[in-house]
Amino acid sequence: MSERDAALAALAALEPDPARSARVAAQLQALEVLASAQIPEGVSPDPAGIKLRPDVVTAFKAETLLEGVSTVGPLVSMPPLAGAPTRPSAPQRGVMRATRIERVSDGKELQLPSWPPTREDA
Amino acid sequence: MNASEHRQALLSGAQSARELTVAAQARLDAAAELNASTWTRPDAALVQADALDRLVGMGKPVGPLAGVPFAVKENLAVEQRPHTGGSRVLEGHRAQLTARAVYLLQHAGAIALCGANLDELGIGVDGQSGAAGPTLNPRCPERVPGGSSAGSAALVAAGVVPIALGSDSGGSVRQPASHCGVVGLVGTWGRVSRSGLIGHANSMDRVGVLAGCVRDAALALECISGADAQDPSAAQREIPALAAATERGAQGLRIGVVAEAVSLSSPAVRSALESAVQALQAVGASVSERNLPLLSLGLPAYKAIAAVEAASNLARLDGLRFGAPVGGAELSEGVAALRTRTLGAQVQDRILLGTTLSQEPERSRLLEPALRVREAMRAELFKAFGHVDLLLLPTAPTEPWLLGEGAEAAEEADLFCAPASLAGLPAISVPTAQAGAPIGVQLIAPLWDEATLIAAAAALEQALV
Repeated sequence: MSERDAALAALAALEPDPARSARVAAQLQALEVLASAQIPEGVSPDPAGIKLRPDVVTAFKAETLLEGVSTVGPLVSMPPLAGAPTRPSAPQRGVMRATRIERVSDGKELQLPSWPPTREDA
Repeated sequence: MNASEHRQALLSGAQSARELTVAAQARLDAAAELNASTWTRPDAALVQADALDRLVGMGKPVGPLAGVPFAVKENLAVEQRPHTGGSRVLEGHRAQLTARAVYLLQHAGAIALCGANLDELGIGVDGQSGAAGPTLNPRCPERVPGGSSAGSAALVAAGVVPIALGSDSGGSVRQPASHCGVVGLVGTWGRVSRSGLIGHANSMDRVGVLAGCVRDAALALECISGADAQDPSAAQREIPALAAATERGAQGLRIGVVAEAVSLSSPAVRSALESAVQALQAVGASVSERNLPLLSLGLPAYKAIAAVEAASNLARLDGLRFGAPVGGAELSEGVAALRTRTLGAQVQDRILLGTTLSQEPERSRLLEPALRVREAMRAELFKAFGHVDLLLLPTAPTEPWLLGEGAEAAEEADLFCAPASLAGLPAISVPTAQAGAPIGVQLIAPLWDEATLIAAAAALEQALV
């Protein structure tokens, strides 16, 4: 198993597994069609996935939404493999989201996680 | 009995809500071999039924779904009921709240009868990967029921409940509906609150409805639509009269058949599509061909985006707050060990794929093109709706495949559902009357135009009978 595969497994909060890495490599190969896709000119990706509605943006901080609700999360949140991470790893982010769910389950007002996480979030 | 017949039986005094609920529970027990349900709540259901009977007895108004039993895909929360999303990582977890969609159906008088089996965490296309074991297809037990809302589709197809809630990211309501011969409906992304849903691809996750007929699906979607303070993505828009739209007919509607889908379909599916075209023409719709050149790129784009979102969303399943407890000396090692031990292979693959796609060089090479395909696909669809009112294509490229076979068919199962998922468009799968295994056809509407979608689907359904 390569060093990179082991690092990716760790980033995914999974134990290393060569068989799993091989299956995923095959899935990546199947996605290669995207690399050579003929996409019409002038189309740029929308990193938030779905355009944020103005009323939502005024109700909450846009960056909070991008972080936690309607986004392709890792595009803006996951640290690179090399270099010091500037944001928490996946399991740490999970703790923050779980905290939010607990608040909802307690019947209290929904509070989306702030950034950076407060001591309470952590 | 459909939903309207349940309500009529209650209001006419022919059957009490308690009798309707007991009968549904008996049907559920008789269908146990399908392995379609994960929990039941006979006592709580009867409490709700008795309350309904008291209202009827006092001559008080009751909701449009009064006395109608329904099933809840088990990734949607029902307070104090198991809420595992079909995953061992959440084994033993019980919901501490009720999902908004479930609450709204109950508010309309419907009675939550049971939880419905599913592919683990809503990731899967065959109904075979959930922690509760595989679900059988009641219409053809030797074939898969589809997924991930397998239990919801099977319970409706078996006649246990007229309505079931499901969730759909890349086709998880529509595709099992097609394979089980029932109706599967999703509204525009944002039409229904996702509060209480264990989602995995939040830019595409939708709560949808499976039902025995278009009118029941429309009525249920109408009841669960609307804004929700606990889900900022739920839209504050006027809720259309969807059940009434079933009476509008399809006269004069312009339907575009997606030409590229025909050559990508099996002979049986092509035949089903042709029967749908003839039925729509028979009820007064004009049908023409439309091109969607990016159709075949929609599925790989969906797979890439959904994997990256899943890697982020499912990071919360770490055993620290709920589910199976983490052990081990080091926290990170304990979390990794727990996730490796309790998440299924399909989910682990999806998480690792998404993690890899979020890193260079895969991010630039594959993920960013996927996001551009998504935007281009939306543009293509919106352009098509400048010429036609609705698009028509099969729900799935093949009929449901035989159990233990069909790896290739499974890879392509969401090929025709991906476009509406990427663009957040409302869509419905309507069963055709083909001999053999069930096959559905799919109608797609512009954003927020569920009423036209329902009108055409109801007319198609009637014409196909």
